Amino acid sequence: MSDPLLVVRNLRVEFGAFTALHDISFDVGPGETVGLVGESGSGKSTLARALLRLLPAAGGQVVWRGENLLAMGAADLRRRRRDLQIVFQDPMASLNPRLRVGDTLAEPLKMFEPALSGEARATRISAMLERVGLSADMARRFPHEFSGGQCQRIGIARAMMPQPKLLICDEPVSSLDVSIQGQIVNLLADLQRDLGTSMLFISHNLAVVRHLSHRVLVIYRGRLVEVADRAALFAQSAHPYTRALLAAVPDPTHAFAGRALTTGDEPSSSPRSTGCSFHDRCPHVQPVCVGVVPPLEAVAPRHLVACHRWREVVYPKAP
Amino acid sequence: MTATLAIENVSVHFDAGDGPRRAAVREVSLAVAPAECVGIVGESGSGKTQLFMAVMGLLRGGARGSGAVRFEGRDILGVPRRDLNRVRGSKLTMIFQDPMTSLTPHLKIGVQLAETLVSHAGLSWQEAERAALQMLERVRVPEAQRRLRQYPHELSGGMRQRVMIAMSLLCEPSLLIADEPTTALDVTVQAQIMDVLRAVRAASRMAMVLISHDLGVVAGLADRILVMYAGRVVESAAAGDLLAGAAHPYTAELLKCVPNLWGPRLARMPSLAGSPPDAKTAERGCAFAPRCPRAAERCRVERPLLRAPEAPTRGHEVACHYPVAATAVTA
Repeated sequence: MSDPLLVVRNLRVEFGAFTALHDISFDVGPGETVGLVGESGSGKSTLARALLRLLPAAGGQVVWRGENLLAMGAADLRRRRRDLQIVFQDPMASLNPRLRVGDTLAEPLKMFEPALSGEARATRISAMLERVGLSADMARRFPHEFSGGQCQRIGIARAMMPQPKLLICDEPVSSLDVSIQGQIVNLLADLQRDLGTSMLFISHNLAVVRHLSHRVLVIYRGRLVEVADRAALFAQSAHPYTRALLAAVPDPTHAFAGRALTTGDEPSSSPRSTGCSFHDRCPHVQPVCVGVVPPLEAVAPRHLVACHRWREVVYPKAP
Repeated sequence: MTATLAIENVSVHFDAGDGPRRAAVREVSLAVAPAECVGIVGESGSGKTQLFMAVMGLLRGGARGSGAVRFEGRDILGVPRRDLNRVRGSKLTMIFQDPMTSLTPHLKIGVQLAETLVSHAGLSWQEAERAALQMLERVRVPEAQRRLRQYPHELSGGMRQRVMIAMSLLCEPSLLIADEPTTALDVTVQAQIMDVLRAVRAASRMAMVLISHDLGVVAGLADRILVMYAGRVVESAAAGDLLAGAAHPYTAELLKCVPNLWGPRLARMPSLAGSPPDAKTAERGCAFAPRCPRAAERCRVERPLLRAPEAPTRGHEVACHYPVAATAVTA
């Protein structure tokens, strides 16, 4: 495999005494989609923002094509940001309501390609609108004239305008109706196929992550607990939290789905200093889990798990 | 047998100044039998919440309900607030998506729970607190005694929703209306709350209406499912019949759209083109026709009425000129 575009090593984010991200490490290769799965408060969005330096990191490295973004001056960072763009969850809130769609799409071009003529900009904007399934004449309209799904298409168009190499999608379909979600997921898949853009796809929806991702990271209370290729994660997940997450997804066609395997309460943001972050909800907890943070270990090639008991606990095969 | 809840021909309109009146709910009829759980499925704007806000007398912002709503045989739509309050909050209760905004932020959990019993059942504060504690334990709130002394902000989202469920059950209601009770929660917590609701149903004769955009959630609890689109019920059937043999093209397409965790991975994620009509659009023909793969000319001019499909299973109704044959979906 070719060299990764993005190399994240021991990334740490703190909010005062609270550690939101503990030593996160992973890579994203060219043309690869990495899914990041976790529940609210797990640190998914914090990770997205820390990668782009929209939030300060307390430690670690974010290496983009050989350069550490975290150690870079403001002017250099701004140039690099052209390569790393982000799509947000709430498409309405992430568009300026007072700008016509065409003006919103023109901004990244004015920033990164100032030499472009007005005419050339308009051509690029028309082409991008059509690329994301809208029509060129929609450039003259305002965000409120669009539906939620159309606004998300505009959000994607805005992010793709400067031709980024990595697109970070932070819950891009979570606020959309289920009948619309597929439209946006398919659009992202098409963009990746045609343009080779790498993606970090953040979602709490495992089924959507399964559809898009080549590799999946599972995050719980600020720590990666499992990292695996898609097929391995869904068929042979080895972390009790991943198992609980998979079992909890309701499915109208499967009576066994939507079941609770966890016992305790959901994550809170209270600091937790010792042990495995999942120990208080885990059905397999042992004293060691309460005392010692389990390291991420390889259970198979390209399959990492942070669990003291992965060798002993045998799970039934996924249905 | 008297239905616990009978909704007859209910519409909800918004007055829009001198513009055309907007309809959020159009001529909906449905009945909920004692101990029955009816699931109401629809996407945003389908009218599912507005319908039950009308039932509860909670419409606002210029919205007006018409038609008839009977709760245990008595009219409750359009009656004076004092009459409605005899049942509302005690025998007829509702929980919402966001439990934080349903709880009073400056009162302890114990006070809020006990207050319900003091005002509706005439218990003393001491008796009420004891009952509140028992109810928290019944909905599996850990350390229930300590929770009584806590404020809402000290609890997690899932715990707050359990408190709301406990509060709604205190007066042994005949009907609980749960509007997207797990939508704001994480999926592992959602599964826990669904377990609680299943246990509550198993232990009482309470009827339930479960409103959700998520067919998976509804399928896990409902005996019968109604599908709403653009303010109307477009299909109604026993849960198993609906999931195995959807007759309305919208239901069938919606089922395909539910992201699948266990089936084969498809090259394209199924979706529906376009978006639902907004309430301002005048109704002509079938509201789903512009997005429907089966639509013909007739669908654009003549509105289909809710009726039994050909070869019906008991209680199955669909509003479609060209319903999907049952075999086409079960295959």
